Amino acid sequence: MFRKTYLLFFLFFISVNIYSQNNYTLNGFIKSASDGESLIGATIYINEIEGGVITNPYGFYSITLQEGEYNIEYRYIGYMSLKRKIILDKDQKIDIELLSEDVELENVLITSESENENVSSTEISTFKLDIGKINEIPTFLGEVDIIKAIQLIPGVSTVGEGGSGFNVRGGSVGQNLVLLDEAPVYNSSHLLGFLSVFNPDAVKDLKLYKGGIPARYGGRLSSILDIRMKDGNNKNKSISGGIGSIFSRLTIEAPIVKEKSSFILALRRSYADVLAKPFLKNSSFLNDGWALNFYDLTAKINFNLDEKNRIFFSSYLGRDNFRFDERQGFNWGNSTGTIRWNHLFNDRLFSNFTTIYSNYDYQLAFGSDDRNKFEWDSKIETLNLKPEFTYFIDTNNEFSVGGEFLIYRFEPANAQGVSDGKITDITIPKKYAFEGSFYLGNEQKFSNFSFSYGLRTSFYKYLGPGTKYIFNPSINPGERKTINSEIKMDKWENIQSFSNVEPRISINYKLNNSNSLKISYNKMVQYIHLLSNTAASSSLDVWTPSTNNIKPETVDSYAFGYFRNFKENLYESSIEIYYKNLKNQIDYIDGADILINKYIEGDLLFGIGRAYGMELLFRKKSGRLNGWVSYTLARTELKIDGINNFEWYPTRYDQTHNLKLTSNFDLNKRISLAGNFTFISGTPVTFPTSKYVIQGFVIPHNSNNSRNDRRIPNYHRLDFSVTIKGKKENKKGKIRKNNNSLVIGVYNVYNRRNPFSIYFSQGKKVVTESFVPGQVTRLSIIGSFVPSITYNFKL
Amino acid sequence: MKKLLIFIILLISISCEEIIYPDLESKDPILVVDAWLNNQNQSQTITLSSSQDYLDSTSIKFVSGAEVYITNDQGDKFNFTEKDNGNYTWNPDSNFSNLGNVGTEFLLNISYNGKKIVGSSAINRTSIIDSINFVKGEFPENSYYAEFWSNEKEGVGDAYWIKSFKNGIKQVRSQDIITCLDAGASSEGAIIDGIPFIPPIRRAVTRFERDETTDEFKSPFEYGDSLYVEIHSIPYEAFLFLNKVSIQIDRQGGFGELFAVSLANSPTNLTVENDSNFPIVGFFCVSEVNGMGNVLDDDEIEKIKKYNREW
Repeated sequence: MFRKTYLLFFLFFISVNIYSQNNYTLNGFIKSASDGESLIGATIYINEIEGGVITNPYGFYSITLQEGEYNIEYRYIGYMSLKRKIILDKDQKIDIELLSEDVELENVLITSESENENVSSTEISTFKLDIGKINEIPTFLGEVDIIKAIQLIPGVSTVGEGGSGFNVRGGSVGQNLVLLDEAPVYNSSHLLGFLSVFNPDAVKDLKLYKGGIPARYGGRLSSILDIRMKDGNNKNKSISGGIGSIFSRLTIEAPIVKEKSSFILALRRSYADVLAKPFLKNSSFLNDGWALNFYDLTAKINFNLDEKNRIFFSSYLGRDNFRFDERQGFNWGNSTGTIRWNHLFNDRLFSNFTTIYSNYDYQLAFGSDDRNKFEWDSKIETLNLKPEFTYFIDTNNEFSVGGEFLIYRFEPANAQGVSDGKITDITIPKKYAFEGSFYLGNEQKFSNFSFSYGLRTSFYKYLGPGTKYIFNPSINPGERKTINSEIKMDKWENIQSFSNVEPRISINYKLNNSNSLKISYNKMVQYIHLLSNTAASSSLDVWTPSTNNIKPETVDSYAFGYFRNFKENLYESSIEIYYKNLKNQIDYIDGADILINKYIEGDLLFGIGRAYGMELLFRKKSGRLNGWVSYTLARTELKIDGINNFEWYPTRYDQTHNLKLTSNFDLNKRISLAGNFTFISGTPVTFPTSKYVIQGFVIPHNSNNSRNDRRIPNYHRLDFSVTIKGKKENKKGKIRKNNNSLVIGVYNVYNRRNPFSIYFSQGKKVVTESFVPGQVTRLSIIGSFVPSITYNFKL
Repeated sequence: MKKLLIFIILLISISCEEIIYPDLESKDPILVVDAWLNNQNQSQTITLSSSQDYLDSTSIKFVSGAEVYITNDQGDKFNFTEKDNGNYTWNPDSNFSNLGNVGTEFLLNISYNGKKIVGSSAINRTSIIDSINFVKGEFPENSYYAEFWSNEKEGVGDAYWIKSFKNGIKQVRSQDIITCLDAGASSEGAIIDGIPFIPPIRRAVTRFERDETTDEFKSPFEYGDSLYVEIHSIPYEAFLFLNKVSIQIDRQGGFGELFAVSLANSPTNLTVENDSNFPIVGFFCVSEVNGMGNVLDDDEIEKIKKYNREW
């Protein structure tokens, strides 16, 4: 079956590759004229064929056409279009620079028209946001936040305020692959989940794939969030930054060799502790050496070696630091490094070779002296090699092939306790795994139909040195499995292997230029798992490999959509229906010990899941008033033996209705207003029916033995912000070189106490002869409106 | 650890909580067996009651008229007679000064309304307390903390429940369920054995509380306060039970709720032999106990200074 599919694939490929002789290729890069940043997804429209191509993530395009004369339009949203007439009688390389609409010049250029990309492309369940739009969205504490911005997209949600990460179409936080310049980021949050780790000043563009995921991506079930960093201004030096309620930001970008190479360095640091230090100097509980801060550093350098070769180095370092004194505290953070080499083999064969290092780790230390202390750290480290080739066959076919090879090293816990001078080491041995994949994919157009299809084959090995744990099958479902035997495995010895074939296909049937129907199917496989049994994912949660006890998670995901644009693509709308069938989903026994437990696999429960829903989107991308309305009707359920009497139950992040409204209005050239409205159905919760007393403790009891059968009250919130830009001209009427702006915002304008959870406890009361305490508490993580003010500058 | 605690408390004060009265499903009461016994030379009590609606805060509904006894593996029978409503007691007599020694296995038998309820437990060894020390505390200033010292016996597989009494009053707040495997592990997936109980366990007998009138944190111990600590040996199943109960009832609120787990029922080691569908909750456990006390007096304060005792 497997071989046959491949064969068919190649036959198909070959069949399209046989065509006439007099074809020439037009290729090049499209960049922004102001700073030399390559433009991702810019359109190259050929009037004569009423179609065209878009640039890849490096701003490269290639199109092969028959000999002739062509009128070509280069277009990108927010930029002025550029028309070119060319005589194609040989292969040509045309690099284009587009001018931003902000630049007001009198010239022959025309203002950009909106694209019908959402109607015409095969992309379904995909959302692209450029950083300009993200900057306009009002935010918590005024900090521009990528993860919060994508939560406004249909199908994307979170467990609640303060919850780390995001959930896509019913997937858990650990089922999203978050890529920053292709490096996986294992924890995307600063300060619990209040802020994300990405510095918006260093981000160029992001794309979220909720479904219809191309074959080049894999490794997670629910979504791919592909974040691309800026390359750095290669024309002029630029310094920008800001001061907000939480962070101070500073970004420097400049050419190294003008138009050949450039760099960007972006820093953020929270400064609550800097401000607080003088006031807390004589405080009794914070000793010398205390700290409470988080910072991140994003850096990138690129070199245009020649016409055919370009190299990028990018890196991210971030850390959260909570220290009570010199000896005790907690810190966590990600670090990533990416080296990429773009190479053009010829006019039509674009390649990219990427090497990635990524690491997430945390450290805890407690104890006042060396005789009594506890030190604990944990880490996941990956090394990743990714060759990718794109062959621009003709105007109707874009073929890609590549692979991905990942080596994982897990350090679940290195922990050592010293009690009265006696050392106990409770370190859990390191675990190793290898994940590899090959993929083929093609984007093909046939009159009204276009296809994007591909095949990914992935293979995985859980490798020694390590221990193979054999558990006794649990007699009662839902209880801890006891260990039967432990088998020590040697270095490189195969403990368990898995392989999967992952077909991906999306089809677009274009009814006309403003209407299309799309359908997609894809299978995704996830070999590593984020273990988390709490309401929100915590910084201590540990990634764990698939083993002889943990099978890879899989999903078959289907989506169907109708896409329609109005008023010459000024308004975009879509309706999508999705269904996902999930296997080998993980839940936990009651009282699971998921940290520092070498028998953790005995505390896991496995089952199936299903997620389905409908998503509506109505979006106005440009104009004085722009924004979007997103609505999701959804259900996400699991069925796991040992929970909820082995019947379907909704997940903690299941939200029936999720309505988001986000808009931005330019009052005049200097002042713009922005607002967000959110309405979310209450998330599921388990209520007790009764209580009883054992040894003076009041224990809640649910006679139905059910899980998540009740809901907390609905959530709704309005946010608002005003952005005031500095004057563009100085007093003498000359254009100012410097730009600055002031953003004043209010989060939760009407001061609603939105519930995060409802919990049951005996509070501070004790059981007496005539009284059995038991109270119900509704908790709001953010219990009031939160004003903020942010100042941004650009020199 | 305490600073982490304080930090968390600071965060909690940002969030906002309200007591609510939601509609909760009312269900038929369930029989509750509270049978935690020990092998000390003292009266032993098993309490039978029935569960009540969660928001019903009236007194415990005791269950009378049951026949309650335990037997050991030597064939001895200990009758528990109903002293007052729902409380069934056994008192040491000339035959038995206590329920037995380490290693003895027991079977609990309850006959109630035609149902035959059984459960088993065994007495495991406990750990001996060497001392209860008071130490100087930094927060709030000039405060006193306490810890107990006990060298946990070598050999994996011991489980303990540590109880504390301040000025003779048992500390029974939800955070006072202090349990561990061996010298401080929380599961058998990590081995901490044969050393003095690790700091988070031996210091857990110090409870940080706010003064009810000023809302300021007060010194956990003041001059003249006494502290009595007991280490109860418990079977592994009892450890799991207490662990799960602790997760369910120790809800501190605030940002801690971000990392709370789902409400779930606590297990039981009791079964209804002649009707497997008859619902029952509770636990039967027999422990060996070792206890020790100390008073924060001039002598102790002298020692704190002399040995510079602090955490």
